[in-house]
Amino acid sequence: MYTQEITRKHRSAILLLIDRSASMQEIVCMGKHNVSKAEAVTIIASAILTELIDRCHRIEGLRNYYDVAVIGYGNDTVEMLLGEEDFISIERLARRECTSHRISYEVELPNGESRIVEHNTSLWFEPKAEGNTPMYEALLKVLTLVERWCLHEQNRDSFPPIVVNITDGEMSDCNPSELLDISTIIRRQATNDGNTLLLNIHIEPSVKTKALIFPTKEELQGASAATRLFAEASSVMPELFNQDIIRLKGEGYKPPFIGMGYNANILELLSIINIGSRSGPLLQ
Amino acid sequence: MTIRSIHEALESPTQNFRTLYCLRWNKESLCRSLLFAEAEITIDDKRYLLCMPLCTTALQYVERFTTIKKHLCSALVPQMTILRDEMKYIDDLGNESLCDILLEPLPDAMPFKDAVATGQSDEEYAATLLRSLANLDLELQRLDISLSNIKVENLLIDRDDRIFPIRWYYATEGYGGDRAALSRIESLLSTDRRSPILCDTSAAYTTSALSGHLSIGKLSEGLIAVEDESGWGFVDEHNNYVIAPTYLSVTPFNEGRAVVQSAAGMGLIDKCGNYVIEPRYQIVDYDLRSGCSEVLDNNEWRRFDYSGRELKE
Repeated sequence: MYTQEITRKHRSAILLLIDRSASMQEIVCMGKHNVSKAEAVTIIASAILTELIDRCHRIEGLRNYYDVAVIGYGNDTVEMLLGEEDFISIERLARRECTSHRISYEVELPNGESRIVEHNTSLWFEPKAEGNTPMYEALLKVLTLVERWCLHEQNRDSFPPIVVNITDGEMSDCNPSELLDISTIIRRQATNDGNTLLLNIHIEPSVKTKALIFPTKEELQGASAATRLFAEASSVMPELFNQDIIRLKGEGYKPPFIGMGYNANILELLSIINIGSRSGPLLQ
Repeated sequence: MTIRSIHEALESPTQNFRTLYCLRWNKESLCRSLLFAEAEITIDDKRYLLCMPLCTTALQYVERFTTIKKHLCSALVPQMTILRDEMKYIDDLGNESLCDILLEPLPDAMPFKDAVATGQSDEEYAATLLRSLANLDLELQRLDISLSNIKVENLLIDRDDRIFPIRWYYATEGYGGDRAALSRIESLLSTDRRSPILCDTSAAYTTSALSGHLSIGKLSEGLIAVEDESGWGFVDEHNNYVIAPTYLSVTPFNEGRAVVQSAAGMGLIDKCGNYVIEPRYQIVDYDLRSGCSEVLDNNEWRRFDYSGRELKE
């Protein structure tokens, strides 16, 4: 299980689920500059998509190794952020125009003066943050997409879909048991190579407590109900990911690891998505 | 619906109320509780508490009480009325909408807290008030009902020293639920001023009992609003204080923000208890959709973003 290499015949599917509720307006520190959580998540998710495209480039052109989708949820609305109602192949995504987003920040020079530095980054969708958090409705959409993808003849032997849910708050359209139910059903969607992997990342950079990143069961003892809920909703990471998770967490932690982050800052968010999307299934 | 909606409607009652267009309102009385935005109004020299629901569950409480009230026959019980589609307001999408209004008649009586203040320096009057509280308790026993909302600010007292509770919407069938609250008020008037007996209630959606609070709200975003002797604050699911109970009222957390009311005014806090908007304004109306707050400051409306920065026109 979880051994299938990614080839054009056996594509992989990566689905990013992004909270776009009002609380994502909170300002956070991202590197040297302050941005809203919504902007930070959009920049990171866009960078991941750009990198997936880069990884598919070969001398003869782009190889279709991935199907990707990005779902945004906020203000009672669930949106497909790459413009199509289903997964989109990486080749199709690469043909689309992305917008250029200018980031500027102040740096201090050795002589004590400060200077504004600017650089551009590509965005595959626009940041937005308003209203409540319809996470359940978004997970229903995820279920529809991964179920269809797993049932497709072409994907039967592929590495199963990886779903990464990024949020900063509590769902507003379901209770905890409903969240667990829908998460379980999503995780049961499977190819012959394994069940869908669902990673939940809660970002809260302002909280002083240490973040829980890919926790073990021991680390979850005494955790808050919200943290435990996230853990129960998330997949146990397959062995394939363990080496990279241990490298991130440090020695002394023993698998199994839960595919989640709680109270993560923006850097930790990036690390989790990196592991979830890059260090698992291998490109041939 | 927000507290700004009721403020604007009350400023122009002829345009915004279907049947209560001739009301006069006491501008000092506008406040909010967990369920309603409230204002004291006068119609034909009769006083009422006009309550606009702030959440969908608010009127469900009233409707439940209306069912209970059918069996009650007592001068204590107010003739509360739900006026359907009574008030015009502008909804989140900018459309004109109508909302129901709860109207609770107020007896010709003064706030009980003023009487308590007098009783604390006048033993004879304190004894009178204790007898009035005992009579209230007897009447509740006769009606076999618990108000579940008894506190000094929810009581009025008339010239004949009869006590009238207001805000009946938490009432439930069965006597006994108010004993702790009544004991607490009695202790304010007794000579030895004993420590109050606090209630022990479970919060909705939590697995463990939260002990030692006067009132408990529902769990929202990991925090539970609780009321103690010193005011409202927030605890976590293990009953540890996260935000000290110092406020006159609070709303549940919604997308990381809660509106609080202190003696100095209303403000907005984050989940660590930091002020996003200082609590010194007449009204702070947090809009979940935009994440912005409309703030009434010296009768001028100002607008602040999610981080508390003022937005200029």
